[in-house]
Amino acid sequence: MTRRQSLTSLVLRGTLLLFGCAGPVLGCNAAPKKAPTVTAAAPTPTEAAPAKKTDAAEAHHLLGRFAFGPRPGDVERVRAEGAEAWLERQLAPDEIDDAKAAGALEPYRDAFAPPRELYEEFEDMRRARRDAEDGGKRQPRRRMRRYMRDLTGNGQMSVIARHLKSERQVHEVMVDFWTNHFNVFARKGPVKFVAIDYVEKAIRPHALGRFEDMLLATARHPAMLVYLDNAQSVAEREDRPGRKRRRGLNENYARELLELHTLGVDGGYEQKDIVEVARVLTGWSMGRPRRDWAITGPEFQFRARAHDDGKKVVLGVEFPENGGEEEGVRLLKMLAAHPSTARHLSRKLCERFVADSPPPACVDTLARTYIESRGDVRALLRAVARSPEFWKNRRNKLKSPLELVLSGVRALGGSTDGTLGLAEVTARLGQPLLLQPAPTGYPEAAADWLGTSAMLQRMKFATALGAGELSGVSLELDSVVAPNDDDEVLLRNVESTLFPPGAGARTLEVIRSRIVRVNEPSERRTIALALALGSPEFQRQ
Amino acid sequence: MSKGKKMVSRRLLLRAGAASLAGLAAPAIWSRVAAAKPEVGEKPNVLVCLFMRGGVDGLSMVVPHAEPAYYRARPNIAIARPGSGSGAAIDLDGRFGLHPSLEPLRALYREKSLAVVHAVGSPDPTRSHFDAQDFMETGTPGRASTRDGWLNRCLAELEPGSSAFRAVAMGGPMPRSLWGRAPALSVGSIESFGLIGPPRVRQQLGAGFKALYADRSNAVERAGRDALDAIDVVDALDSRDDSGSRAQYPRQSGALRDLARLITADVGVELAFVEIGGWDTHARQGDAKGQLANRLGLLARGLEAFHRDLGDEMRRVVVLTMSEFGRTVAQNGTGGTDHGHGTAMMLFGGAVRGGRVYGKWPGLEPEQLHERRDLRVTTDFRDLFGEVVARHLGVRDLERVFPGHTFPAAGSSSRIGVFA
Repeated sequence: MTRRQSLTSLVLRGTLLLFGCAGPVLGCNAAPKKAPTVTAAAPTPTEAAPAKKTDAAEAHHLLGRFAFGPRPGDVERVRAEGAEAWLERQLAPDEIDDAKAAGALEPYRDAFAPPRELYEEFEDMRRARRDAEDGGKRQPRRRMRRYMRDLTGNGQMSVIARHLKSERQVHEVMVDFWTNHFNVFARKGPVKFVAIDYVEKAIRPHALGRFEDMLLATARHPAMLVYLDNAQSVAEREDRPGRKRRRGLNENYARELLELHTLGVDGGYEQKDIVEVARVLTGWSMGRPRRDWAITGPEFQFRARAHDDGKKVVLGVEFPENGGEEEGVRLLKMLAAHPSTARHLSRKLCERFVADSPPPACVDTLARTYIESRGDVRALLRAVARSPEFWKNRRNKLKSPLELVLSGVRALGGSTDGTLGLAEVTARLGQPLLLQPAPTGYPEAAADWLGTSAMLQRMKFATALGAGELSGVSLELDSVVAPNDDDEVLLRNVESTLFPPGAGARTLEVIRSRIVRVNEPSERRTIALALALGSPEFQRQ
Repeated sequence: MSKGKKMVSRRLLLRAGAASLAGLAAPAIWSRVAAAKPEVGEKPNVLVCLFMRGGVDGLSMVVPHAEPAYYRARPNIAIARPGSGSGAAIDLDGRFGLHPSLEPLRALYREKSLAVVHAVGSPDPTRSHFDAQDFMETGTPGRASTRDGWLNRCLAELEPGSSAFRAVAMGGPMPRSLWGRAPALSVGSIESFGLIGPPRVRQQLGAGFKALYADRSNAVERAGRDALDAIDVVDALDSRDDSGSRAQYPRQSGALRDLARLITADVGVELAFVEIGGWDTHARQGDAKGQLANRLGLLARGLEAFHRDLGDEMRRVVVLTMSEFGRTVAQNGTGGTDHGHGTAMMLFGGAVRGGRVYGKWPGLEPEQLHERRDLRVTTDFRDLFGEVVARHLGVRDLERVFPGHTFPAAGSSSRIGVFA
């Protein structure tokens, strides 16, 4: 109660500051500093996270939310280290050796070729295809199709392989979270050449850093500039009579910047603010694909001629005439520091880490932490892990298709096999990476993933993985769950592998009732693993 | 099981609707009664959306053969005027003609089943496939952040039903049009729909999953159970004799063939989505022969087979074609056409008043064009889609399906009037 009151006053103060300050809110944050500190606001030890001792259920819960599920032995390792120490270590990813992930990436290294090279290769192929078409040959057309498939597939796999094999799991989870928050669609024009560059340069370096830095990096990246059309947004001018102006202001990025990236749909802006934001960001563009890319590669360019030099007012804050490129930076910093952004991001983080309908107390805590820490992602994650709501809300979240695939393969100690198989599997389950057309990114709430065919796909996935035959995965099933004639032994092995803290009675009972009817040992194992991996229980985390 | 109940309520509602509408000045577009829609037994009406991805050249599909500008702009790829020998357009009304590859649809037009709406499209001027398809599928042109598809919202507006097959996407992944919270099903093909594994394993898995997904009060389990029940339905279909099929489908029209099986098997299909690509004809589009002619031929033979296959059931089925945009009026330097604006859409079945070309024709002279290059859009696609779902499916609140769009009032001259 008091916490909420103090937050409200803080938000109010923040808003006032915003309008009173020439610079971003957090540049003049005398007032927020007086607010209770994170430590003071943190729950008392009795209701909070276990400080030293972590039990198996807690370790499992932690690994389901802050990692892509436990691998064999992970639960014990987290128990030995303690939840808090594990998280602290994870929050400094650069100090964690990650040679295994690097090895897993090797087959997909084409994804990291400089966008300029990817683009040139594409252009060469397009020329070859055009020449060949005049001669009626089909070969280049096929080669082109394969090239396009590999371009997207290698990119998707570079993301999946790291999610799967990296020791830096918290970093990986946040790369997924932010890539989705700042969604781009790889099939919109030239985005396909820069999508992985975007993940690597705009998202990954900032995923555990400051939100403001990530916001600026995404705003300037060609992937976002193309995806939400800002690259072609040009000042409206009543110029040169007789000349047909075919382009003008494009509000697409401005709208999603406010609605999705920062303030949130109820963040207190109006249509007129959207137009003003779009005006501020006119000229934020990049080299033109056909003309400049072969020379410079896709790079951010500020085009002064396209920029609107007039005065703008965004959320009551004035941006004087002739603000140039710098006023866009000022705008983005102001948005990053806005209390509505704090709330919007806190809400999304709580949705991801705690519950589809986030507990208000958790959102409040995070929003305060956001303001106090100036948008430091690590501080936010610590606040999540310290909130009683996090530890209370267990197995209440439906795994996204990506989370299901990763947690299933990790639980069985599997690896990528160098093919594009796992990217296709994830796509079939409904979540093709980097191919979500809507700027909202993929949904977080269970209700959006519960389509009838989506559930069927989950059961098929469980069966293929349980049989050790999932395309794209290399797996030594025998060393994880060996076939066994004894029903109870098999059952216990499946349980300890997939549900380290223990499975529900009904899940076990159903599996038992099915394996007793089959004699062939490997079929028995397939049935047991498929039912366990496909059970409602394994769909949750 | 609940089917009987559902249908009773459907008819009751219909009667109630008739009674209340008689005393109300509701726009006629919302009245399914005014449509004199045939009520065939107790089966629901079905809307089949056929998405032609890639932007079909509406001007070669339904040829404005009375326009000299059409022939001026396309010296090599125009479809010849009707009556000018082989490869000529099939005249419809003295102004427009079907592409000769659409010959299989000629009879449907003559029987007044097939209608054409010309110069239809999106109010948004984008020429990006991605944006334009997205806008057409979300039903909110210009607004990219809409999460769900218009067909999914449409499903939510229909009377509640229990069949897992109420909204089906055939032949491919779940299209954007069907994304959303109302449960939709994508059926790759009837053959491949089901659990996997050797029969002995599959049998145990089927029983096991049913026991695991038993609690219908739980959302996850209910969704899983719907999937398992759907498998049973399809398995039963699969084992049924297929030799009675009245139509010969082209090999590539498996999705339409499977859909016809689902509809005739009466498993509760109400909305269906099928897609066919290959319309992005930038180079060597061809005229009466060639790339576009082949695709149109395939489309027409598939639709004709579907129509024949369904027979009397077509009285409750409407098929509507759509495409994200049309193509430039003028041919380009590589014998093709580039991304344009307005296009043509076709519909047949149900109470569609066929045998006519609808829509206000904007003309093809340079000053009549959109940005001096493309067919202008005179009919917002939402007006067409809205009229179809209002009149054929009885959707009352179109604002919920197409938020932010104002529909023309009853009696307004901007109504399309494609339903009797």
